[in-house]
Amino acid sequence: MTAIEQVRSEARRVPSGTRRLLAVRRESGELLFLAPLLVLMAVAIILPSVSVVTHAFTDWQPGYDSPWIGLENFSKLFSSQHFRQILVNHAILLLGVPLWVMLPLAVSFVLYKGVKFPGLFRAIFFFPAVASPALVGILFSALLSPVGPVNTTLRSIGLGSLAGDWLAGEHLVKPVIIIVLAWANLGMGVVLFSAALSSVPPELFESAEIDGASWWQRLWHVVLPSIRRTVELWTVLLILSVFVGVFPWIYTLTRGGPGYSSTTLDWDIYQNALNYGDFGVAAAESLVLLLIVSVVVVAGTFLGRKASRA
Amino acid sequence: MRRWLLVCACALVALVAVGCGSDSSSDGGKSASSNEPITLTLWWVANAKPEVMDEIVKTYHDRHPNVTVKVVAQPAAAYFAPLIRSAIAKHSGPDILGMYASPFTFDYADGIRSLKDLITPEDRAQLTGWEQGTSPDGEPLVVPQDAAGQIFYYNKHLFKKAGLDPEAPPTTWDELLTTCDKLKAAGIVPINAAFKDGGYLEVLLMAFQAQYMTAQEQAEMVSNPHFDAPSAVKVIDLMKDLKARGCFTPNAEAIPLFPDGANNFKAGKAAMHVGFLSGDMHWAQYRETKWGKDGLGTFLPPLVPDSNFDEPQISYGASGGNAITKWSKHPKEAYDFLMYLGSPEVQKKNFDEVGILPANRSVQLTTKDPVAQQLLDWIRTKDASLTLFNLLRANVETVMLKFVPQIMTGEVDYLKDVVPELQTEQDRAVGK
Repeated sequence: MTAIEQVRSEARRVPSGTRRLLAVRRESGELLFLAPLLVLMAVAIILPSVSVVTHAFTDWQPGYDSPWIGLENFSKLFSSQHFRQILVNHAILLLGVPLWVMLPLAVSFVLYKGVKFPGLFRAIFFFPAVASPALVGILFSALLSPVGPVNTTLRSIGLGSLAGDWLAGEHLVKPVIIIVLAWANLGMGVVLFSAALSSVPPELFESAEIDGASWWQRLWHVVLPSIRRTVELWTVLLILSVFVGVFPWIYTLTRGGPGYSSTTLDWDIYQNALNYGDFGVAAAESLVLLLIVSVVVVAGTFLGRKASRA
Repeated sequence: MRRWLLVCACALVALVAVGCGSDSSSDGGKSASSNEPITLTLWWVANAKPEVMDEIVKTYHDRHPNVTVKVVAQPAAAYFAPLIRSAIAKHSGPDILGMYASPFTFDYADGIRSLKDLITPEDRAQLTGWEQGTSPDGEPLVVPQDAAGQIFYYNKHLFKKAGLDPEAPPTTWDELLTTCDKLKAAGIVPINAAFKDGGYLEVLLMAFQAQYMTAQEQAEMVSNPHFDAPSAVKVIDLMKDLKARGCFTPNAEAIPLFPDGANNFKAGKAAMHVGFLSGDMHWAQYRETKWGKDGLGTFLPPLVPDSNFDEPQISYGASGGNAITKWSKHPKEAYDFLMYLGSPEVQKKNFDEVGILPANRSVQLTTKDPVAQQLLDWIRTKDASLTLFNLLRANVETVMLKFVPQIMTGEVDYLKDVVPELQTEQDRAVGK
């Protein structure tokens, strides 16, 4: 009798009631270890979320009477031209997603195929991922100031006409944020894609090379299909970050300005709640943000499952 | 087993809830008899010499051994939002908040205690600025602490370098433009400017708007502010004209006033700058620069075209103050400490050592500094006035600051695009 057959035979000898008790004990042990996390999640995430959702329908004055006002906060929000501007800002920032996907992918592919000491380069590229966004934002603020290194360099090489108000120009500010985020997201993307590439059979690349495929053809027709799930995951994470991850950048780079040209939902929620004291509208806006994020997550999950089944 | 787990989980939640809900206000809920030790917590945005405040607090403690004042310096950028807003929402925090003696404070009235039952007629007579910190429904909210105003400072060395008489700064708008042209010709930035965070346009409006304001506008600055008044539009047009002529720092709409703009003038990167009579960007700070030791000058805002004034006047009035929070367990003790801060002894100390102008009418100020002496002479002899932009509510100011860079670049029109926003916020703030 093999060891497995022996264990199975012994298990069959245990009465079913005892087996059930053992299963419950095992499950309880697992729950015991999970309990602190579940409690923390309940206190830090679920309860505040429920509070915000309910307060979105009130004239919320924390610590004071907060009467029910129905959909008035939402009506104020959706009739505001600034809210519409904010949604447009997000749509424009989302145009950066292809760049934020392709850039780390291309870098990972180069590191995978063509450089000495790829590990060293990965570590260097990963630096932005560990740097505090607030610190990096302040750094870029200085770099992009009217007399900062970027403009000074442009002027010194005779390209002074290109020097601009990078963070103060209504039409420049969002493209600049997209580029800053490309730098900030590069490291994490490189690490993710490098890990994914290492699981791809090298024979695929070799046969493509033998068949005469160019670097770009190998990237597009071999690499992308091979690591599609990773690309999808990274894309969903980036889309989510546009809605819930840009606050430190907006705070340090632009404060949502000039005017509302770089205001995002999370920044506007902060302004409404803590600058204007309009907690009800901030709660309504938080609920809108929650719905948008939920749609992104559900869509991403659905598309991912559909692709797996295909 | 599951029941036991549930009990553990509930106990943990209860522990966390108790921990989060614990009273964090200063005294743990003890009510004090007159000699029982109490601690007052004061929040402020520290000035350039916080050690002077420490000395003041220590002196007070020596005289009132049962009262300890804990002074907490807060970062300027986070002071009003989120710190004060969060404290008001939680109903806990300090006993005393550094505030403005102006309608700016009204938007935080939810957390600020009325001082009606504490102020005496003698107190009112002693300090200037009670009216500006009194809410529309008659509740005094702020104990005035200091006075301020807007004034031009200039670098005499740069004036000399441009061939200008360093002892003859401009007094009219035409003279200002001529001065700008000469400075530009010498490769010197005429007027330091920084519009990114919005405050500097407000400073310029505070300096000049009074010259165009009507009596009605003056009378209704708090009760019915006229954001669309020609006085505001004209001053903004003048500033945009200065920008178009190259009188301001290039690309100023991309430079924040603090710290970059303020530091640029200290570093000698511009010849003129509109600063304050006290507080930030004032004469005592410029004296500490290399050029400021012997090269600092000051002049009144020049007469604008078609000015209502016959001669340059001074923009001056109550500025900073302190408020007592609604949750403070020791409002009387807090008020006594604030009146101590307003006493002649402390006010004189603040002027002598930090350069802060007093709100106390009885303080006799003397100084050996010629620039400071000039300012004191003007305060004594000139008509002083405030403008609408000295008296904005906090939320209205937030909206105004947001649009300043675009106003200066012409991307938005003040009258068409910004005034409706200001009015909407004003109406919302007063509950219309």
